[in-house]
Amino acid sequence: MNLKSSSSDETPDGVAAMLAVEMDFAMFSSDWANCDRLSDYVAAMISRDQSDPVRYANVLSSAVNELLEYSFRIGTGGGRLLCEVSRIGEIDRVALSFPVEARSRVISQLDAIVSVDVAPRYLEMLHGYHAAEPEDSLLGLKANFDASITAGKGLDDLLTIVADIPTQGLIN
Amino acid sequence: MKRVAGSGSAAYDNGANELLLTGTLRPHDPGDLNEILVVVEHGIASARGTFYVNVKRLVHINTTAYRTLAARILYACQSKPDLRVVIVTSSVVAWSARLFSHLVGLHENISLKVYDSAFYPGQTFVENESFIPILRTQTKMTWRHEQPILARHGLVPGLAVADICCGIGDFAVLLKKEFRPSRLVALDHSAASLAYARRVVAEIGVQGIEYTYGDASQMLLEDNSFDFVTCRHSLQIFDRPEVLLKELFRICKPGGRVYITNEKNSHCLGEPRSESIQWTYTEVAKLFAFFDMDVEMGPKGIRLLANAGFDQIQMETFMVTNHDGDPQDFADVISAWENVYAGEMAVKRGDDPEFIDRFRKGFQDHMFAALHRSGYAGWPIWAASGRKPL
Repeated sequence: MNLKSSSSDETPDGVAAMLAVEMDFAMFSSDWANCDRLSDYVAAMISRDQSDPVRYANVLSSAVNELLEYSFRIGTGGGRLLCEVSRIGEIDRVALSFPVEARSRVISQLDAIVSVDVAPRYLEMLHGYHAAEPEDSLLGLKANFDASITAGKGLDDLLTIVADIPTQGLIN
Repeated sequence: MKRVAGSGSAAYDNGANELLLTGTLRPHDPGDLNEILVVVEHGIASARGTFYVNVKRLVHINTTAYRTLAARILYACQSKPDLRVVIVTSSVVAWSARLFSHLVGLHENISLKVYDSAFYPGQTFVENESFIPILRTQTKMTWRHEQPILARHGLVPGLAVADICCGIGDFAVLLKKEFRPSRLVALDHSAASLAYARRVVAEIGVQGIEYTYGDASQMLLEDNSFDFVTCRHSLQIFDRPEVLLKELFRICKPGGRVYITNEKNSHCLGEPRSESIQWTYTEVAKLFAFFDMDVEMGPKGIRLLANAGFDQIQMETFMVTNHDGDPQDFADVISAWENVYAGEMAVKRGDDPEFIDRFRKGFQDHMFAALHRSGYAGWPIWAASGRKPL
């Protein structure tokens, strides 16, 4: 795993990254617990400058974990996993890039998921009206963390999902 | 491939009709939760009337676990129409109330309760802003004694330190200045006290104290994180000190130490007017016991630490007196105690005016002793620490 925390690194949309974590996707996806470990690590690093770092990290870890679990479930093939975090005002921007098959189709599916009215869809999920899907994690991210989510093509044929999370607002 | 992440667990209390979910639940599949679901289903089958689902000690839960739990709770409501389900969440875990509020929309028998101020039953008596100067004075008076004691109990510069139940954070500031820890976390469940603490450190320019809002019985802090953990005057106002000690043990590194201080209020003393003083402080202990607090805990520290699994236990006692500094400081503290103990707690207990008058008299005599030019007034405190075995 490579760790970078240079302000010169930039997320896909040009915002300076506070932290970038890169690891081989095959290694990441060899152990489900890596989602837990990586989300806790990223959250702890990003939260150090906050007035209540412990609670901030708890919220951010929950949100990042949902993204990582999604990547774990749909990511395939070789390549790298790149998790970059930047801050814009009180928003934490998490950009997660990873390899998938049929990237354009996945992006289309994601566009449909992230644009739905989340509350009724989330309740439908809890009622068990549809089978469990990897996208449930992203619904949870929207419903419980007010995340704004976009998906697009990243470098090296990776899929990049960007989640804007108003962490500060959530802990207040 | 390992398919379960986290250290979550479930327990069911038959007597209380309460399912307690704790730790981190981040499974890959619902089947990874089988051990926990056995407990959940036992709880649902056993519960009568109101079924409490206590998630206030749940640190993380992923969508898979949440969806699985929601299905079981919904099933409970559908299969047992007379059952009411109350989800108990915590204000400490910021996402918790919002996440679990979705369950309320699933069935009319499901409701949500956000657990908050009930953690320290007695704390509400001293959270009033007017009490803050007294707390600061108390810390100033005890610090003279505790600074060398802390060193004798193993606190040296450069350690990772946590001050649990830090109150207004003034002890943490002294720790920061005098012991220069490599990391210092100060946790309390009072948002008002923490706001005050943050304001003070901003004003005086002290940096590097991580103040955090938290429930000391289930902290978000990781296992084995701190070399030295302090918890002062707090076990005695917690109705289940063993729960708190278990958490202090958990966050302490193997080989690190947990340091506690507690009082034995009936041993407060003074001359002249010793009998009146002794009577009042014996009644203080009874008054706190009425509210499930044990302000006689001080000498029990060795046993408490041993029962919690610590070894190499050390204990010593010190007496804060009117001769330590300005006697007026001592008198001011006693005056504040009188206002809270006689003016609020005794009234809340329903004591009659005659008792309260006599109760107040002992505090006033203690102040008299403190300010008398040949008087002596004392407030004894027990400091104990134990090592977490390697």
